[in-house]
Amino acid sequence: MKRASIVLVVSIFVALVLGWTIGSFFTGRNVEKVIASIPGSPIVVNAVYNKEHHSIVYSILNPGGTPLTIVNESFVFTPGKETKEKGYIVSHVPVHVNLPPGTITAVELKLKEGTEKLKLGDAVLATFTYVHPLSPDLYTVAHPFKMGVKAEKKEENKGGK
Amino acid sequence: MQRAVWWIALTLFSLTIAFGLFLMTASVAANPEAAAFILGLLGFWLFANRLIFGYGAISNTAEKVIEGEDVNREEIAEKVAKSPEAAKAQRLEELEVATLLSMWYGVLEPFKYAYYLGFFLLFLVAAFFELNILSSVIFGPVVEAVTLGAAVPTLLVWSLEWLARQQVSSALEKLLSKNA
Repeated sequence: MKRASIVLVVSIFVALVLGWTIGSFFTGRNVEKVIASIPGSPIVVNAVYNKEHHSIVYSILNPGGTPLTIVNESFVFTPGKETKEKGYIVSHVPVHVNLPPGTITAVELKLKEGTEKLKLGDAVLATFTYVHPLSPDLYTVAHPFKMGVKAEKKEENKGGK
Repeated sequence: MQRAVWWIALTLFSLTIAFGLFLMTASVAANPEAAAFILGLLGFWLFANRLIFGYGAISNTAEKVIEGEDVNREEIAEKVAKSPEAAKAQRLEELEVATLLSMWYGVLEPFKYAYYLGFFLLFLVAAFFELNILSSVIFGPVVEAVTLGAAVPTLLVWSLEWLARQQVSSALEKLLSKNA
């Protein structure tokens, strides 16, 4: 009779593991569905100036579950000390860039044609207007970009200590 | 005592399954995976039924033999042969019950192999989806849910087969020690 009870114990153990797997599978699917219905706010994780195209390439992460669409871009150019260029504003350039959920997408922002290449200290404040499928509202995200600002920040931190 | 435990365990198990089915049918419309799970469970149970009840009957009869209770040989002989006439023609009722049980266990072997093959193929496809060798947003979770549903009767088949094998070997040991 000992043998039969071993079968029972092992079977109950395997059944518990199986039930656990089934339960976590369905819980996981439900959570995935809930997350997939929540729109996220895009995050600019990196911005790089492209000298050849005279444009700034933003790496934008969509952390939510729904796709987002950038419908227009605006930016304000503020000159630094080293450039002769004057400040200018370009607003509401219509674009159509899809940001798939959970991925980083490269978005190019073309600076005004015929203007000088960016120099150290020049600042570009870009504003992206985006929409998501759950409502007709427009949302914006603004990102300040300054040429060579990253290196300066690191030095400041070192000096502060 | 053991029989009581067996029946209590079976009742609890059936109640759990019934309650789970009730909960899932309530949410089938929203969850295609739940429907796939139920289809996998019922569909594989259809093929596992013969094995589950076969191995269950073998274990119960073997236990009767071990405890020295009377067993109707003709009934078991009918299960081993295809028909009562075939059983008589083969003179199966002249054999010992433990011998008949081991033959009955052997009769179920091809069905067991076919069942495990079906489950393995399904499991293979589900594993391919899980490892991203195949990928589909719609079919991946559905295949996985079918596999999980199929795993329930497969677990029953596996544990009852194991139990039947042990009980039959105990019954055979008893028979051999009596003969010796």
